[in-house]
Amino acid sequence: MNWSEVFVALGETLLVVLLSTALAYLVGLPLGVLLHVTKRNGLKPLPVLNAILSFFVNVLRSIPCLIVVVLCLPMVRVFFGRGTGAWYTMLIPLFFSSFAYVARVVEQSLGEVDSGKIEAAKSLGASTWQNIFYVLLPEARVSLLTGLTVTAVNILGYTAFAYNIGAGGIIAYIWSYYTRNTGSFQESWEFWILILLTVLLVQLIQEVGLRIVKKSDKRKAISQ
Amino acid sequence: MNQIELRHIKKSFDGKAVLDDVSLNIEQGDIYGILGLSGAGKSTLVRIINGLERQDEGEVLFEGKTLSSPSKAIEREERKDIQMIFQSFNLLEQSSVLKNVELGLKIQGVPRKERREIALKALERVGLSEKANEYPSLLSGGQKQRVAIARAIALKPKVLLSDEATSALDPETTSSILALLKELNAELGITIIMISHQMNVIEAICNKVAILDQAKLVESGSLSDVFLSPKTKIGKSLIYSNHVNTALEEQKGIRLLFDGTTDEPLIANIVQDCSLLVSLVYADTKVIDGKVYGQTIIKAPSKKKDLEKLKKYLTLHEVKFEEVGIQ
Repeated sequence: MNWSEVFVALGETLLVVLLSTALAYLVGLPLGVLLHVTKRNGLKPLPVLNAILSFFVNVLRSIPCLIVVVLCLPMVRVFFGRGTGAWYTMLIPLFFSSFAYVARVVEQSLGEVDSGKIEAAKSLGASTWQNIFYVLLPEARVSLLTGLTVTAVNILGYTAFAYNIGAGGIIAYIWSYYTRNTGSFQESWEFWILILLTVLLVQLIQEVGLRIVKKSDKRKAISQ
Repeated sequence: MNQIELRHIKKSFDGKAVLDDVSLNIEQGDIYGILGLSGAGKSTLVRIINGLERQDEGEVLFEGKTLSSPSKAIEREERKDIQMIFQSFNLLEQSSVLKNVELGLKIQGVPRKERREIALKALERVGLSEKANEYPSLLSGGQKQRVAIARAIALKPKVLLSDEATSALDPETTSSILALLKELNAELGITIIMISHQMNVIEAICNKVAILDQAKLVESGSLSDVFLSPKTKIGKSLIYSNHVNTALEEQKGIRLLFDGTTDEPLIANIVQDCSLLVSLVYADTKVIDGKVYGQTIIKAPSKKKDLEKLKKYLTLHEVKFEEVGIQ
């Protein structure tokens, strides 16, 4: 086994996860806010828009990841000049298979904010925008960051399809290791080291995320 | 001139009337209590005043101008003058106490430095200066409500709505919050509209009171008028709580009302002068508008002759009384 290849693969996975999570939030966060505020009892009820967005999000979430990859191929070609074979060709399919999920996660986090706080801000004279930026998002911050961490780990799971398009990353690396050693992979310590490294990567993402969550929560903080 | 005028307000949710033709006048400087059982429509009524709910019919006037009507929603700028405190405080848990108090000022576009000054002053007024940098989760219920009051008064409102603001607090904290509200009313001339299902809360600070029952306003007037001689059944049951049951006809009692500072031993006198042995059901004193009122409920004598004698005696000695059912 070539260990430098292993570390390149780990790095590719981490990079792809971070970048596509960022991309997914770039669209998913505003979409989630929109889904939340246009609800029937929301800050700005717009039932028709809400129904359309909701339908669109549900459809996107129902398409299996590998199918999204196929559907995205032409677009990836336009963007990167190639549809497969490099780590960055994963970005667009990962974005499309996760931003709708992100929107739902965001919507749920915002739903946890007590409506009394929204009303308090309204009676202080807050506009819809002010309510979103001064109350809704700050009060949902902890839940939003938890959702972000869970999403990143989820996206890491999605990167498995990279094998199918030759886009690299640690999961594809493990799969190809298996295909080369189908009879003996379980007896090989190298295989288990690869699994261990993947677990460590996931734990790293989760640990960093949850630490930020804990630090940002002021609900139990001792005076600062 | 009336500061706030509610004209024939109607509101229903899913076909069920919550407010049915409610009209109410509130003057500047009033501490107006709105009393009623839960579900009577009290919350909806104040929420209509500051535009958190929209009435189906009727008008809300503020300082003579239409604040809201079915065809006109309250303007955002107009909300500033009418602030509100809530039973569940509704503070931002992820913001410090100071940031919470600054929220309204930030919304109104007051520059950072100025709003800090105003917020600190408001916190000082409610006695929580040293908690400015704490987070709400570390505060007691009473302190949280003080922060909410500071947040409201930072905007220098003309009216403060209180929606069961003391209902989640223990009796001692309740008294201190009520005392604070009374001080603010006296110092700043701020009108307070106070919703409660607890008559002792209303009794403690209000000068006027209205009673809501099943979407209708059934009694209203000065506190002494309504509390000393409630006319409706719901008024009686709210004011005497468990001591009197107007529905029980066979058990008759007589409620006596007198100057609470009197030295006259009323009951002893009745026993002596009428030679009637009376049994006492309930007695208390209420301080209303600085005057002490005593009220005593005694069992009515079972013989008609004795009852007439007692009534004559009371009339002669100018003791107000009424017949009530007792439990």
